[in-house]
Amino acid sequence: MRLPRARPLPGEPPSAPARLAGIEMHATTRADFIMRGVLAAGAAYGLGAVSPFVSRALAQGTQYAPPEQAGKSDVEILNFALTLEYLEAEYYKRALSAVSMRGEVRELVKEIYDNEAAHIDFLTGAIKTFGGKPGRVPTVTFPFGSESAFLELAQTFEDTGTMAYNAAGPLLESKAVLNNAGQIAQVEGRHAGAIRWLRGHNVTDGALEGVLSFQEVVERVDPFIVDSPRSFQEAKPESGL
Amino acid sequence: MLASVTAACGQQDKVFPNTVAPGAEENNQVGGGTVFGEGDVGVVNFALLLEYFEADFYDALNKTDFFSGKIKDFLRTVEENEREHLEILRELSKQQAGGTVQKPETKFNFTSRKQALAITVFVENTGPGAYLGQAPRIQSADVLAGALAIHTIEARQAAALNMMVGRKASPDGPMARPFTIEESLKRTEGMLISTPVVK
Repeated sequence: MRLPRARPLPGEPPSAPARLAGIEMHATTRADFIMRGVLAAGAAYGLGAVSPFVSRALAQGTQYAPPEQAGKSDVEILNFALTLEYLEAEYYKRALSAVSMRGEVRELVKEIYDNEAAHIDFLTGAIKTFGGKPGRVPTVTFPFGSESAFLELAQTFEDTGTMAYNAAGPLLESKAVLNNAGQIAQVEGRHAGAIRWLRGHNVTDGALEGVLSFQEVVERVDPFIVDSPRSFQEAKPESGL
Repeated sequence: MLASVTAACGQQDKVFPNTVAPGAEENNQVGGGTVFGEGDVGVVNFALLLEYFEADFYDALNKTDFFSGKIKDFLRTVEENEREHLEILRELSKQQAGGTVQKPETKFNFTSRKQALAITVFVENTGPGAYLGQAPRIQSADVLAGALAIHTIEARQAAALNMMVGRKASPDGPMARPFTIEESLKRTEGMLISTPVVK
């Protein structure tokens, strides 16, 4: 099955004006002298003077905090992640009985399911620690068919999870939470890499992980959630936020 | 195990398994001195050293004829990714006032397909832990975003290699293990043969 593709996959740099506009926006909120220094070299000598690698890094650096997600509290971010983890865990749990899989795929799916279930427990505990209320378990629906279709959607979920955690990283206030979010992000990235390898797909789409805004994450996974939690509804484009 | 994960949530700064204390400065100490520089300068220089090492590693590995087909293609892509990380970090490091870590000397000895693949699995599982260990020390949001963007690429590569040798994708379980600088460098012993120099 195919998901609607919201926009070009990460890795494609935005146009130079968009990039500069992003930096402008940033300069008002954060002092990031090192990256700004690289950018200044580009501004002075033209973006072509900056190595293509660095301009790609810059393009991504400017993307990580779209306006609608700045200002979210750590608890809100963790709750958003919790919904994703619920979705993933349930996907693998059902797939283990609904999909006929090769041995090595089944082994991986069991491993991934255990990890996602542990992430749910972790996030639930962390949200409570910060005085928040963990979001409810969403009702989900998946189209199950062949192993190959299952792996394709699994890749979408894992890629989405990896990019969502990466986007959230710099927004987190607590360094302890950042540390833990990084631990989870790495495990999501490992799932994505393993699934892609077993599918015979590229393990990476370029040398830098992309990031997804909350809205982009919701667009990718909302078709599988019957009753979206409030954090997801708020991130939908039609909500006007 | 899960019960202990949640039970550990009682205190915000002492969270969960596999963590190093965020910002712990011993993280940045090698042989009793701050070799790589203070703060973000140190993080970038440490990451740059690691990428020099990895780029050299894959250059040497891809000169052997142990691999073919899908694995060969994969290893070439990994080398390209590592070179790109190297370029980014070299540019960043040059912009810093605190000096740049110099290209280290490396030595690799690949004797068979099996041995080479085993070393590659070990080396590639070092990168993600090394980046993860640095993330909470980073002050600049942009440098953090860059480090995170490299971190999960290293993680993807490590997991694919783990699949090739029948390991778990995430051998440390649901919460990946961060490595300190010391631990990371220890994993390069015998291959990274010069001590880090910043100038």
